[in-house]
Amino acid sequence: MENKLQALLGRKKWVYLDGAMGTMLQQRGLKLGERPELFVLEHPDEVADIHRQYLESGADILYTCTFGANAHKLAGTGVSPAQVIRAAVGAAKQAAEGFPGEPPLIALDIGPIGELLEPAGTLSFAEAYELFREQLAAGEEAGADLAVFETMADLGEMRAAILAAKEHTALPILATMTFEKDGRTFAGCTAEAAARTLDGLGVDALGLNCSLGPAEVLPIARRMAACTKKPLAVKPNAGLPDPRDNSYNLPPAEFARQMAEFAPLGLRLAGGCCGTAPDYIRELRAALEPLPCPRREKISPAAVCSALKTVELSGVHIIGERINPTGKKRFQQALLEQDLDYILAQGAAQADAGADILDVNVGHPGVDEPALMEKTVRELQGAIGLPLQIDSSDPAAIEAGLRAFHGVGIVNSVNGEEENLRKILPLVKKYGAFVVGLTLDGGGIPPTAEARLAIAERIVRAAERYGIPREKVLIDCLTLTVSAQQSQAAETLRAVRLVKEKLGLKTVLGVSNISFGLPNRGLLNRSFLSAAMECGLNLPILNPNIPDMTAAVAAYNVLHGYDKDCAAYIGRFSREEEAAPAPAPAGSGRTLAEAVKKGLREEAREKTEALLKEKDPFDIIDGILIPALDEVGAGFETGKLFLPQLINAATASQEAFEAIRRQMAKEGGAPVNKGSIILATVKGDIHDIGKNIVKVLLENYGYRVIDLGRDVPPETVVETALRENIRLVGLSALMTTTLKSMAETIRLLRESGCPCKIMVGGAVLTESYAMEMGADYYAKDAKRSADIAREVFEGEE
Amino acid sequence: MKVTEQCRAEALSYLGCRGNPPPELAAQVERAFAAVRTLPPPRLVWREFSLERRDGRLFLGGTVLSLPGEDIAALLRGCGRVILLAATMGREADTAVRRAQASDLGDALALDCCLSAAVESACEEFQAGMEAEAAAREEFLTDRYSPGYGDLPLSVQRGVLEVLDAPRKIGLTVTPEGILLPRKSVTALMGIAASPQPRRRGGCRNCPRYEDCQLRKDGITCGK
Repeated sequence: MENKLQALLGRKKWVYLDGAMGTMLQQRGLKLGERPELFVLEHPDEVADIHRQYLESGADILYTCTFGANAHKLAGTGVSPAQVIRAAVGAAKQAAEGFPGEPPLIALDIGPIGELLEPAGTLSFAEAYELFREQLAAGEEAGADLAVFETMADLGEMRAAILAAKEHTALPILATMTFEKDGRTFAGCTAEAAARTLDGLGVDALGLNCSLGPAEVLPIARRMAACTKKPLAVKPNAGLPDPRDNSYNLPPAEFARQMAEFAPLGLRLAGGCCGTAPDYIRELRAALEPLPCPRREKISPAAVCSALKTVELSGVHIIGERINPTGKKRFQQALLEQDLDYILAQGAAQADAGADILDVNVGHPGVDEPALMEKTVRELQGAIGLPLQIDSSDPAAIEAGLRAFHGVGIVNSVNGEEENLRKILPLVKKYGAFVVGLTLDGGGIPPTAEARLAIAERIVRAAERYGIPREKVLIDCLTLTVSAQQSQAAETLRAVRLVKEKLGLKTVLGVSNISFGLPNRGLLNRSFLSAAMECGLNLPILNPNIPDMTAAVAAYNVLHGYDKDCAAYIGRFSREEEAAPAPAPAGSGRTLAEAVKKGLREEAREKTEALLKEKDPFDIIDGILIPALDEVGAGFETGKLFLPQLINAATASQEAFEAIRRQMAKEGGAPVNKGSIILATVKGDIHDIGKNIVKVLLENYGYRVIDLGRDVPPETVVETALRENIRLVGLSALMTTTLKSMAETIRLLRESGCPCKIMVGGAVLTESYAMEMGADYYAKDAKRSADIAREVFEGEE
Repeated sequence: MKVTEQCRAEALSYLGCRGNPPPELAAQVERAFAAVRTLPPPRLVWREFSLERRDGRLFLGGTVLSLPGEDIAALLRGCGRVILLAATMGREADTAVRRAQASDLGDALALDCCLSAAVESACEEFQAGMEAEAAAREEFLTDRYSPGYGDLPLSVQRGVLEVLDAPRKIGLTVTPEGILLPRKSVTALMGIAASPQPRRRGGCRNCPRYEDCQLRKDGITCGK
C-alpha cells in the first residue's frame, strides 16, 4: 500500500520541503549554544509561526523542531525526547490548522546523535539504535506523517536510524546526508555509497542536505542520482557561511536560480537548510514549478560498497578468501581465542595485495558464530574499509554480519533448495545486499552445465519473488577438484558461460579448489582463473597474496578494456619493477637476534622459519627472541633507543613469534603461554595505541594477552578476570577525566575477591596516584610492564 | 599540507625522540608524513565574538557560553573580542591510524604523532594569518588558549563546539569525558586587543614537562 510520502510524490511534480529552523529561531532571540528543542517547549507559538510562514511560502512538508531531541543531547536538561517531540509535532499541527491550501505532511526531524559511533567513538550501534527508536516511537505516537533523518555523516548511524524506523514504526522515511565538496561525508562515506546503501534499505526518498550551497552540491547530487531510482531530495544551505559572523552569501533569488539547475537530474524533493528562510522557499517554488521533471532512467552499473569504497561490477574484481578457517590451524586457533588482531592483519594484508572485496567466514566448532561475525565485520570495516562478503550457512550469523556491515555487501550463499532460499533471501532483501547463488540443491552438484543453469534460474526467480533485483544475484557455478573429477573443470567453465549468456547475471567462482592434490598448484590456479575470466567470471574468490593470481586479473582487465588507459596496470607493475632490485633479506649475514633488534620483520620471519627446522620453539623464544628484546628494552630505558625502535623490534619479534605459532598449530602443540594477562583501556577512554604497544611487548615475552579493547566497563574486566583465573590485569587511562573509571575498575576487582595483581599506566598517572587508587604496580612505559609481568609470573625482581 | 621543520621536530618530540633521530626513525617519520599528505587537509571552523563581562563572569557575545576561571580572565583582560577556533584532521586520520595498527604498530605510532603535529601546525598557520589581519587593523592577538589549560575546564568543550556548530561544520564532537572526536582535533581561543599582548604561554610549550609528557605524545593536553 502506498504511504503518505509516496502518495504525495505521486500527486505532485515537485515536493517542496521547508527551510532552516535554527536560523529563524536565532532571529527570534535564540542564543548560540541554546537548544532549539527546549525553545519549542517554552515557545510553541513562536515555532508554530515559523512553520506557518514556511507553509505559506509553499512548503509541502514541515520538519519538526526536533533535530537534537535525543536522550543523549537532552541529558541533564530534565526534559525527555517524548516531551519535546509531542510539543514540536503539536506546533507543526497548530501551524497547519486552518491553512487554506493542501495540508502539509509533518516530518519528525531527526539529526545525528551528537556523539560518534564505534569505532570512531564509543557509542555502540545498539545504543544508537535505541536512541533513535525512542524518538521514532514518540514521533509516530504524536502523529508525525513521516520520519526525516538528515545531516547524517556516518552511514552506520544512518543505518541504525533507518532500521529502528522500519522495525518499530510504519513511518515513511526520507534520508539525507551531508557532504563536503569532494562528495564524501565527514566520516568518509561517498555519495555513491550513501545512495546505494539507503536505496538498498528501502527508504522512500533519499538525498543530501546542508553541506554547501546549491551550486557546490549539484555534482554530488548528480553522483547520487546515477546510483538510484529512488526519489531524490536536495536541501542545501544558502551558499557558504562567512566564518566571522556565520551569515550566508546567497540571496533567495540566486538560491532558487541555482536550485533550478537540479531539475534535469530528476530531483523530486527540494528545500533549504542553514541560512534559508521562507523567501527562499517561495523563490524556489517559483523557479522550479514551470520546469519539466524528467523521469530518471539510466543508472550506473550494479555495485557493492562499503561507506568508503564502491566496487562497480564491471570487469573482474577480486574477493579475498583468506578470512576463513577451513584447513587453517592457525586461523582456527585465532577464532577460538577471539584474536581479532590476527584476523584484521589477514584483512589488511589482502587489501594491500589488491583484494577489492573481503570474504568473511568465521564459522568453526566451539565459536559463537553470530557474535564473532558481528565483531569481525565491525573491526574490518573500521580499519580496512573494503566491501565485505558475509560467508556462512547459519542465517543468524548472516543476519549478524549484514546488520553490522554499513554498506551493500554480499551474502555467500544460498543454494537451489526451497528451504534454504526461504530462510536467507528475506535477510538479503531486508539489508539490501547481493547474494551468491550456488548451483547445487538437495540432489548435490549437477554434472552438466545445463542443469546448473537451471538451478541458477530457479534462484534468480526466487530472489525476484522476494523483491531482490536480479542484478543483485551472483551465480557460483562451483569449482570441483580437477584431480578427482577431471571432466568437471570444462563443465564448470561452460556453466559460467551459459549463466552469462542466458541469464545475463554476474558470476562468482572459488578458484583455488581446482588444483587440490596436484603439484604446482599455482600454475593450475592461474590457468583456470584465466579461462574462467574469458568465459565471463566477474568475481573470482582467491588468495590475493599470490601475485601471479592478481596479475592475471590485472592483465584481463587491460586486455578487455576495463582498466582505462592501463592506468592500474602501469601503476602496479612500474612500481614493482622499480622496487625489484632490493637485495633478498634472507641473504644477509644477520642473525635472528640482529634482525629483531633492527626491527626487520620479513627477515625475522624467514630466519625463524629456518631455525625451526633445527631448534625447539622454546629455545628460540627463550634463547634468542627474549634476550634480543631485553637488550632493546635496556637501550630504551637508558635513553639510547627511542620508543619507535622498541616497537619496531617488538613487531619484528612478533613476526618470529607468528612463525612459531603457525608451526605449533600445525603440529597440534599447545600455544606458547607463560601466563595470561588482561589488558584494557578503561570505560570512557578511547586511547589505545599505548595499550596495544604493551600488548605486543607482553606477547613477545610469551604471555597470552586477553585484550578487552577500549572503553571497557569495569564489570567486563572483573568477569573476565574471574572466569580466566587471571593473575595480572593491566589498565590504561589517558585522561584525567577517565581516571575515575580506572579507580572504579580496581575497586570492583578487589571487591570481587579476584586474587590478581593490577598494573596501571597512562600519561596522566603517577606512581603515587597509582598506589592511592589501590594498584599494585605503576607501569611508566611498555618496557616496565614486561618487567612487572616477569615479576608476577616468574618471581623475578 | 606542507610539513614544516617545526612540525617535523614536534612529531619527533611526541615520539620521545630528543636530538637528531637515527636514520631509520627519520625515514619512518617521513613515511608517516607522506601518509598524512594523502589525507584530506585539516578542517577548520572559527568565528569572532565580542566579549561580555557580566557579574564578574566572561561571556561570548550572543551566546550562552561563559569562560570560567582566573587564567582565561587574565589572558583576555585587555581584549574586547575573541576568535574561537576548532580544527580537526578528521575521521580519515583516525581510520588511517587504525588501519596502520592492523599492519605495523611502529608505523601507526609514527603516524599518530605526525597527525598530532599536523593539527597543531594547522592552528599555528591559522593564528599567523589572523595575526597578520589583526596587524593590518592595528590590533593584536593573545596566545592561543585551549580548554584544559590552566583553570579553564575541559567541560567548556561541549559549549565551544556548539557555538561554532562544529559537529555540523567540521564533524567535530566531544565525549562525556571531554575527549574530542575525531582524535586529532584542537579547540582554542585567541583574544583580540588594541595593544600588543604578552606571551604568557604557548600551549604546552612553556610547560616544564613538555619534552617527556606522555599526554603530548598522545596529542592531548593535561588540563594543568
